[in-house]
Amino acid sequence: MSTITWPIKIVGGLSCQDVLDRLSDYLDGDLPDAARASVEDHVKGCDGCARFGGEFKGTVRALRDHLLRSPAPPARLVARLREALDRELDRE
Amino acid sequence: MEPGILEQDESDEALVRRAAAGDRSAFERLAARHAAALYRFTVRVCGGEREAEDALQDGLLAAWRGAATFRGDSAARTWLYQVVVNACRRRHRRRAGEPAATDGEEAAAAVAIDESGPEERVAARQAGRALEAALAELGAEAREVLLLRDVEGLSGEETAAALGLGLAAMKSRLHRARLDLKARVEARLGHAIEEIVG
Repeated sequence: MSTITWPIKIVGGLSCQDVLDRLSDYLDGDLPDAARASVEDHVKGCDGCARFGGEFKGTVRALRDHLLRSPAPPARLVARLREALDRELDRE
Repeated sequence: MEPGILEQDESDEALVRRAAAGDRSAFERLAARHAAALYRFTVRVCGGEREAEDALQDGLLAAWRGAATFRGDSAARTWLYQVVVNACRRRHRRRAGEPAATDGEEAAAAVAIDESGPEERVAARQAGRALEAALAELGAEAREVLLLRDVEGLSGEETAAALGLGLAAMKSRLHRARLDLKARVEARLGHAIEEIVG
């Protein structure tokens, strides 16, 4: 699990751990305006959190970008589902 | 207006209602509409193409049988994910005892795609492989939440509903999963995937 590996600071009224704990809510747009501003103030004054936050965001973005390029389901899947529905309806 | 145009525009919820009344073609249309996303999710959660096909078929059959139980409290898409998540979990429980690494290896192989391309894509390919491998190493609960929220783009509320969790519990699980994924990707790559935050 990730840990803070840089000198901990209090900036914007938040410690680095506070920022780390709020990163997902920040990324997902789930923080109220005041809390969002506090995170941004902290990040502006803390290189460690700025770097970690960028890496966190980059990893989440890369996961989506990479996995959305997955191959389409095989055509046989639809055929299998139709056969299974046929069997299901035969039983009814 | 032609009937075909009306059918194309039919909502997921309307298709579920018709399926509940025994309309098989409506169900097949619903399944076809979401097949690619459900398959993408199932391959990663269940581990490999073959297992994913079986789980997805189980899940879609369960959805067909249970269409009448759809209450419309959540979107039909969320309900479909919920049914497929449960099918994956059932199959996973049945397979309990098999080496977990098999899941990841098969899943990684299943999604391998031809990425031959220009040199500037080498780093992206390496990051992609690291992401695949790190995701496969995670527990099923972490994979589920990452795939639904971060890959398939379900909202927080939809993801929580699909996983049978409260919103706060889902958020907590998602945050831990993202941190875990980041650490594992970095351990594999030897560096982080960066982006500007703020």
